[in-house]
Amino acid sequence: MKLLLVALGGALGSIARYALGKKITEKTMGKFPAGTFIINITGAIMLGVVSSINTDIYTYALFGDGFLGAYTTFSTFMYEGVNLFQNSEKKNACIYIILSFILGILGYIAGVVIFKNI
Amino acid sequence: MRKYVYILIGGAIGAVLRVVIKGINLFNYSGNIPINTLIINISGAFILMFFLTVAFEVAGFDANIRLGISTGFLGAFTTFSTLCKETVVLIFNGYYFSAFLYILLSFVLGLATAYAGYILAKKYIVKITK
Repeated sequence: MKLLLVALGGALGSIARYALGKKITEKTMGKFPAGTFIINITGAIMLGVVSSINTDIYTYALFGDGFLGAYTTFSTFMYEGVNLFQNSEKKNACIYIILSFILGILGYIAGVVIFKNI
Repeated sequence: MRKYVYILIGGAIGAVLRVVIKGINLFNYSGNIPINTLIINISGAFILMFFLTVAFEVAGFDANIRLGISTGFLGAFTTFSTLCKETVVLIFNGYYFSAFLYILLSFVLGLATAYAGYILAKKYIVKITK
């Protein structure tokens, strides 16, 4: 049952990432991978909210491990990082990686804090 | 529309595999750094780079299958939100050095293995096109 919810959340999270990523990339068209960047940060914020709500394991399986786990991604993040380095966009690569981690961690904490103050 | 079905299926399988691997006690490990997520993310980065390098080089590679495996399966298998959560949990528990090391290992090994995936894929392509 738990894995079934993970599968459902994972399927929806992947579609959401693809659709949103495409939209952002169409609008920005820059040398900075804004799509994955925005997706990963917003996903970290939302996981902070989901984690601070006292949910049962099934709700967490659907939204936390399933949807948000799949919505955010690490493999594409690294793929884009290496591509930036290979295209001699070293500065952008470093900014992308460092900023993702800093904002991801702060975003998660913000998510926890936001929920506690609602 | 068809590509969404491929991403959907890939994403469902990737997320389930991640949760299953996360639940396994690997090598009787009992340290602070969450190595399960680390291994998942690093192996996913390697496979994605290898796979996409091959897929983009091979003429006529099915775009739907490519999206299903890359955006669907590998995108959902690896995760960024859990990585952030685990880091914050380490920080909140006072394991500052472990938190720092976890982030450092994630992106250094992630970039290194992704690059290795690229190099291997290039060698593999030369082999199959000869």
